[in-house]
Amino acid sequence: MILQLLLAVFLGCLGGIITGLTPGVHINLVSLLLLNFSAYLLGFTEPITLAAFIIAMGITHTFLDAVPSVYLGAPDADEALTALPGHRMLLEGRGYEAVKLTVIGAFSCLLLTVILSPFLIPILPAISEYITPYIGWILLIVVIYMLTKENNLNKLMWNSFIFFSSGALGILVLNYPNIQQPLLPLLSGLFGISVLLLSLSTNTKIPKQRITEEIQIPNKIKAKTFAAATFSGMLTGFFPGLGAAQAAIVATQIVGDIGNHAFMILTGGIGTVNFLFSLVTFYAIDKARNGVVIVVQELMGKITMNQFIALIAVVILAGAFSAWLALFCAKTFSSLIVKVNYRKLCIGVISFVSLLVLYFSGPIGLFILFISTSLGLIAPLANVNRSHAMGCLLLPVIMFFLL
Amino acid sequence: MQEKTLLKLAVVSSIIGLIILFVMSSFTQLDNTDISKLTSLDVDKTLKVTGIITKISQTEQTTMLEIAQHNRMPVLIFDTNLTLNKGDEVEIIGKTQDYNGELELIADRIERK
Repeated sequence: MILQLLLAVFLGCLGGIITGLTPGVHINLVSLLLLNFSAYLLGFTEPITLAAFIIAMGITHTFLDAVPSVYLGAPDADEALTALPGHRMLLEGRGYEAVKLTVIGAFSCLLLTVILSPFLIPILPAISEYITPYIGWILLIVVIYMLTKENNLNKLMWNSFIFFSSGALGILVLNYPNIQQPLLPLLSGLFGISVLLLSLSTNTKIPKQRITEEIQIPNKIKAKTFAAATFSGMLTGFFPGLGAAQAAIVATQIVGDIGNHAFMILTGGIGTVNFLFSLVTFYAIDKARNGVVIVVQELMGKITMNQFIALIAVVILAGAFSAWLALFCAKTFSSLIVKVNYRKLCIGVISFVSLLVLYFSGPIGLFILFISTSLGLIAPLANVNRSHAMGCLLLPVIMFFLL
Repeated sequence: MQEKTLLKLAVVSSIIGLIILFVMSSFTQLDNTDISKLTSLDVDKTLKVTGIITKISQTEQTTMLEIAQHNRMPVLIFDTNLTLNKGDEVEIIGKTQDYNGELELIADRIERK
């Protein structure tokens, strides 16, 4: 049995390399595809082994999705905010460092969440009941603070325009009848293709990449960042509609200006905690909040404490292996990225993401991609922060909770 | 292209695109949803569901239904002046929400077929 589980973890990690490195692919999409094959796969193996495979794949995905986000500027939904400082670090020759920071965040916060879980599980139902009525107001206060924190009327105007236009787009897209994978065109345009188009228009050249062995970050900042990432990643386990990207916005408001290094740690940590904590909430309050956990729920029904402990062991094992894998892939990308023609690479990624959108979301997806790309271009051209485009998810979530 | 021109172009394309998308979404009909294919990830989605009423009950302000295709789904309606009966085939448009770990449909519109 243990050998089977170990093999499942190994194969899951290999699967996670493919999904994590493919631009624009979200783990929920992969999970739902897997759900369709699960009945066939159960003919060969036990549900717990299949669950271990899927969880290992999900964990590896959360470690590796930083790689296309940093090197190709093509993030998935959870990594949307990482793409901006990450791609900037790539243009300074520090792409490997950017990925390494997300790995530090992911693995440290993974361990922190595992340590905290036994204490949280008994009180989770009460916390969930207490916080839920206030989450809309909390997010509203965060948004008002985000929009007004700069004392410049011109910037306030652009920030508000970007936030509310993205919000309107988010509301339209998330409620558009019959569309599949609506987040794919929405976030790929706002945070991926618009970045690549600007790189194309400015004839960006990728400099030789440095392999940084040691990164100095003050312990106080590290502790603050790990705590904020773990706390906000956990929030996503409670609230429907709240994803890793919104959690990153909440976390940045908690910790204030922490600089690019800590920001990368923060987003890396949130992505993994978001994933892991949904497994914890599934066990504690029987609510599955992400695609992988839904597949586990479909496979196993309600899980026992022993099964939960076995799955947590899978998470730790897969996390340790994925940390090494992510650094290995980042090293490989660092040496390859300077050899390829960056212009052709950008065109290739834009074409690939457009085809992916056409395949999953249809022609209407391409139209949404066009609008979201136009909106994504406004922030850098108006010289304001692109994270206000996260209004595309925040505004619908606030409306969900307050109206 | 100059940055200012590109900025103007991006703003105009975004606004026109949003207007067109809004108009298109008002004219697009929802497809019928198969209840058995819904998962917990489908929370907060607007759906059209057609099925047979298998249970019906009322409180002071709401009507609770259970509708069946191959699987069953609870439906909550904030209206008590409805003339619906068990066995009626109905078409419901509404939004899904999570209720005690299960999906429930909050009806915006309900029509007897």
